[in-house]
Amino acid sequence: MSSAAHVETPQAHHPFPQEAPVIKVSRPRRRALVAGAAVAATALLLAGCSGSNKAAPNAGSSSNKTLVFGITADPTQMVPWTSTSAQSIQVLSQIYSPLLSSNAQNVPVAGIADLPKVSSDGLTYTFTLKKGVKFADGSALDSADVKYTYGKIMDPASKASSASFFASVASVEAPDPQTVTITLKHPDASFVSALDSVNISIVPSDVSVDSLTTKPDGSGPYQFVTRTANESITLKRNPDYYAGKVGAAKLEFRIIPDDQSMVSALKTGSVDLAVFASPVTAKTATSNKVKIDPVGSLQYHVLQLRAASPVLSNVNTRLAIQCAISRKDVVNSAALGAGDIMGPITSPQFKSDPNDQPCPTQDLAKAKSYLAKAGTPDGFTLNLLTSTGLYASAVDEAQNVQAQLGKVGIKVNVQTLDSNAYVQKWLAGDFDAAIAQNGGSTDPNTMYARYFTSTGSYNKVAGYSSPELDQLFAQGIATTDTADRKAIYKKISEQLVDNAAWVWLFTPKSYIAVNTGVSGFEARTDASLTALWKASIS
Amino acid sequence: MNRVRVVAQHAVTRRVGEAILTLLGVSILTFVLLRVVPGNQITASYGTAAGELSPAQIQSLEAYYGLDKPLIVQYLSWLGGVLTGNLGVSATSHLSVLQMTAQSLPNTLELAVLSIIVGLVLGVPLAVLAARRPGKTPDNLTQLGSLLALSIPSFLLATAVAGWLANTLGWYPNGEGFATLIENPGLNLQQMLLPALVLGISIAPPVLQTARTAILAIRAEDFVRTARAKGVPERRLQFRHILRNALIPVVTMSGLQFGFLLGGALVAEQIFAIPGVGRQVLLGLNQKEYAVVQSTVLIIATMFVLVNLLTDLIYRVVDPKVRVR
Repeated sequence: MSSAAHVETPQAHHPFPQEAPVIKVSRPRRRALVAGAAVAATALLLAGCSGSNKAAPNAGSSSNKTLVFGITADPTQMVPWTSTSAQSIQVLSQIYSPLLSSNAQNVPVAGIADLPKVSSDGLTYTFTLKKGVKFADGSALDSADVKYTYGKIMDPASKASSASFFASVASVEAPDPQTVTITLKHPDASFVSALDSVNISIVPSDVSVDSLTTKPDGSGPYQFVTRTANESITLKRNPDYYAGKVGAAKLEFRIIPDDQSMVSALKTGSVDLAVFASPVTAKTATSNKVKIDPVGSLQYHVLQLRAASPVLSNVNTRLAIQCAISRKDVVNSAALGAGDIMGPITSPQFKSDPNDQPCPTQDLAKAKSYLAKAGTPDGFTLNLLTSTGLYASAVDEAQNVQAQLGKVGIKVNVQTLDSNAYVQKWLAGDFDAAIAQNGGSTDPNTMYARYFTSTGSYNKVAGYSSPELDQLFAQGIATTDTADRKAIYKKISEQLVDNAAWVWLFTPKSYIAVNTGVSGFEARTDASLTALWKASIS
Repeated sequence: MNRVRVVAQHAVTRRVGEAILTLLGVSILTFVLLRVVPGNQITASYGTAAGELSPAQIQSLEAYYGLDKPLIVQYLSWLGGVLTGNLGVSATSHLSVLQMTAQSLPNTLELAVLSIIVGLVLGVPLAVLAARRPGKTPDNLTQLGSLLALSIPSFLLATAVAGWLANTLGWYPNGEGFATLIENPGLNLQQMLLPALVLGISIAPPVLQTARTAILAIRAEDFVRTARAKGVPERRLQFRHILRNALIPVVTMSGLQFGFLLGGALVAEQIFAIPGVGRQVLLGLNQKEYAVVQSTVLIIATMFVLVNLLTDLIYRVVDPKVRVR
């Protein structure tokens, strides 16, 4: 650059007259440009400074009426049944209503329909819809809309990720406007637990799905007003919300991609609510204006072992891994304490005892003896898949596991991929072991039948099944008696840990940051926003 | 005369042809790179839930996203769309890439202009100071300062400054919803202040170095000595004769920096929640929205190439020597 300058400059000031006109034309222009830029700069900076005093109170007063919820990314989907991103679920849970709702204990309760009457053979579920429930466009929500929505979800052309919720459904009928009858192919005690999911929220039957992608139309606590890509989504109060008066006049989901930026926005009061995964970030947000509510999760972090891959086919090998790992250590050092150690099932009514497994705490001697039984007393080499993009502590957890297994001679190769590549390998079952964060459910069948029954959609991923498990899972949904079911799922849980199908690590915590101006907010498990509609802002 | 014109036309035609080939190359490279990376739009939007999809659903999705067609057909149909003004639609925001860019590009442009201004305002006066007595304390201090400014990663500086302002002054305009310059100039300029400052700080060192070197070189020129001998006052000599000439390479360099900033200052946009072109590309990458990434990159590349092309053509008009070549 500077060498070019040396060549150019003398030319510009060459004393010979023939080049002079060129200089004379270009010079004043350049001067005008520089001067113009300088003036503009000064003006902009001045405007910036003077504006700072005026704009702040304005912004403050407007946030009094609008509840601002900070999210880190633009929601990627707008149709309930294809929505999988956390942000989409958060936003859509405020716009739409599923058939049932859930209480603070995650148990399904009446929503736009009462809890169903189940026929004695367990095959027919009859729902009665509440009267007066309306969509944002003013039309009534009736049984035709429910039939239409569920039909859409079951239609492969809709590409619904929630289609699997209806795997056991034979038919959905709408005998009269307030009644919905669902008939199952076989008894399924887990069926009702899925009906409070945002992914099967009811959409209007007379509005095209295409138009829902740009103008969502539901019966939830808030109604869609406007969306600016990569910036915000604004909703307004639904005056006819079936469950009661909605707390805030407006609700804005504001996109602030950076966590530290979010902390600053919370502290200055421009954002009222946000959810953090990291306890460290949450701590920096804590101030006299911001309170932090830690909440537990139904999700779980797990070291998935694929018994189907040769290196892990011996049960003693897998048990050695279970015994060599201190779950407490994984939580405390990799996840910075943000979790609780766990057994397989997280569903509140069926929860596994975290200590009910062959090695409840780290036991290196036992691990060694299992290794000897497996015929590999000096250990072996294990490939472990993890991802940088899925969740914050995934790589740290893999490295912690690597260090712990190293103590008994198991050499772990950590393979770190970006989330897309990881998901592809994970879905294909193309790994020996993987660190994963999997979704939980209020029903243990929903949680694990897909992984550990030989016909489950994720059995290839789980890499483990047995005739005993197939039979237990079938029994689990065939009976409706809760006590009987609890006994069955306890057996399933034992089967899983005794065979060390996977090594279950912990359920993560999330941290909800709430501005002190917000009242009536109920923190729920998994930072679910089911009760956000009660929150108001002063 | 006629012959000269033919030659000139020929050169111009060649230059335009080169520009088009460059853009074609960029588009092919982007297309290939996107597809070499594992994963596709289905895994990106469904994540692990993609495992719940039935084969019929996956087929339907592949048809929907156009993934079932051969690569060459995918490329040509995208290119055909671009040539007929259809740059594709984002499945995330349901806006056309043209609409998205119309929203994001002005923000990126504004940020780029402000950053360059900050860089110049910081860099040029310091260069004058440093060049006054090379090797003396002010010079050494500015050298140290510029080294420091260059080595601090901008994301660190940005986060630290933002956190500090929020904690001490309770001032963090970027937490408010983004306002465009037209909607609310006051708020907009506050929101642009921090990112422009952070980016400007990283632009200032090269500006300073370029200007300093140029000032020193020009000061040694014969015409300066002549002017001084003719009794031109020192201040006038410094500013009108030396500095103004020294600014020419600075302007060239600022233009280059500006070109890079047009591609989107991703880190600043991400941290300070500025909805610019950089975040548009990132969103497209994360969601594997091939059309969004390809078209946005093509738009950025086109601007870059156009600016270069125009500069070349203007040289031809302004400088007879180039015209002859």
